[in-house]
Amino acid sequence: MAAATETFYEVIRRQGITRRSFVKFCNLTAASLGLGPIAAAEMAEALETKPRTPVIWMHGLECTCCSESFIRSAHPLVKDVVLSMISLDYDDTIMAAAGHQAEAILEETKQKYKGQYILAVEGNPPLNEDGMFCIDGGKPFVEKLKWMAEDAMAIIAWGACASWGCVQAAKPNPTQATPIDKVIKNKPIIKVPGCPPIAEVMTGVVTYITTFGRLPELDRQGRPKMFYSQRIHDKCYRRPHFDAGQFVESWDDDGARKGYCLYKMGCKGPTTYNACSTTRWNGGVSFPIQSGHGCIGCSEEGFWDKGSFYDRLTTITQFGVERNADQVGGAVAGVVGAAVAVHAAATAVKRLTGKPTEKTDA
Amino acid sequence: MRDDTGQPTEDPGPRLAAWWRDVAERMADLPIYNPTLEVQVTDFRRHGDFHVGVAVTPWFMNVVAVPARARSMPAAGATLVLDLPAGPVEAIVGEAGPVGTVALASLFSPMDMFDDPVATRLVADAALEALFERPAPPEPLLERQLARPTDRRSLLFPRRATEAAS
Repeated sequence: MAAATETFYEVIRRQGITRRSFVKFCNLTAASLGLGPIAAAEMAEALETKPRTPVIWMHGLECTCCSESFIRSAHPLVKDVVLSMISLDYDDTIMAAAGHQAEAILEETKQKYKGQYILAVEGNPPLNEDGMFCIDGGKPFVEKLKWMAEDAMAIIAWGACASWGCVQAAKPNPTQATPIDKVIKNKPIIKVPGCPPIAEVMTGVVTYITTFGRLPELDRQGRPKMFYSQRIHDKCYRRPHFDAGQFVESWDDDGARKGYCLYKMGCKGPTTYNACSTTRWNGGVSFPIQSGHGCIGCSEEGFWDKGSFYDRLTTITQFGVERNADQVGGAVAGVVGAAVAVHAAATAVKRLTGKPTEKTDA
Repeated sequence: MRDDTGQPTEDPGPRLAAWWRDVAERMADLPIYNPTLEVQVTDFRRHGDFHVGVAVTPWFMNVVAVPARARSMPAAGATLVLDLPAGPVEAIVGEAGPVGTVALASLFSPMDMFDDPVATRLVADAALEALFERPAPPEPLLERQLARPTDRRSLLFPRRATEAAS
């Protein structure tokens, strides 16, 4: 049975946020999700009428960079709004409760909101020595994670840790740190990789799930398509330099000062799917390549074990990125028929004519 | 090719191809260079202020928009939206040697899924074709209504007719 909870709108009104700000929030969030004005209206209606969704945020082996990114979101109201919107009932980093009181929240949420809460997981469980490398509230984290996952509606895997394993799972992985989808098999899991993920991507995903009550469309690796379907390389503002064969040859050379392409310095942009080159960081101010360093591919699986950040990428398959057959339409090799060529071209053009993020010219 | 006044203008294709062939010599020792391919440029088509074509090199296949007449272009690295018939295409502004400021949108890069210039040419031509194809318009409402078998009564009093039927 649904527990009686006030709506998100009631909460923010109580906090003194105006309706105007609320509507603006809905419009901006819908736009950042690549959705139109109809979705903004739907979002506003859902937030006004549906009880807010409790989110339990658990931490395993991690560095808290996901939380750091999330609370620094430049979204206009994020500090007050997203945190109250998602009814962050349990996050051991930012909640006021501690000790037994905190543990009681987990128990209470599990009973009161059975099948209705979102479990957001930052970090991953180590499985070696029966999970003894990460003890949380006196129990191995892996046990607590499975226990909370049992009654969750859906699970968000924050960052490279929860999605792929990240540095603690890098070879030789002494604690046997394991991505959460290897431990939780029977619940929908959305992966939001990155080290950390972009704040706007995180708030966007949470807002989508809490308003529409379902996961956004995912790619074959379980990532939200709306944020992870573009390659850094394709939308990089330095891309024309790559096309023109203009590269940074050594740090701080003339090419570096002119903002040439960082491919020769080990940039992993050609094999990395993320929104960095479009959404950018710190409220759209910049992203790693813009500050002069190559992409390290932090949102791709196993990026710590793919050689140095400064090794030049030799092949697109070196980094373990599967060729995306639904984008390319299979390899266009050997003797191709016109039909294959037309299909490959049509898929590439379709990808190009997707909704633009912002319009600067006609 | 002709400009707005009907005067013939220079096709930017050959100059771009010549420039990229020069660049290719510098690129040839890089792993992302696919030696089985060659520089190819499709015909350019006029669209608004731009000549739009598709360029193939051993390291990318891009949509290329060259300003067809003097116009202010955004700064290098900025995004320019080309409103092509198939839909808006985000292109990145950059310099293309002697041709000057152009806008580029990536179709493929690197090019390791191709191993034959015949294939890249086919794909490039098909891509240009697809960019200038208007997506099929949604079926107009009236036509959809007329496609349903109807009689005079339900056409004039749709609600009453439905109620009577139910």
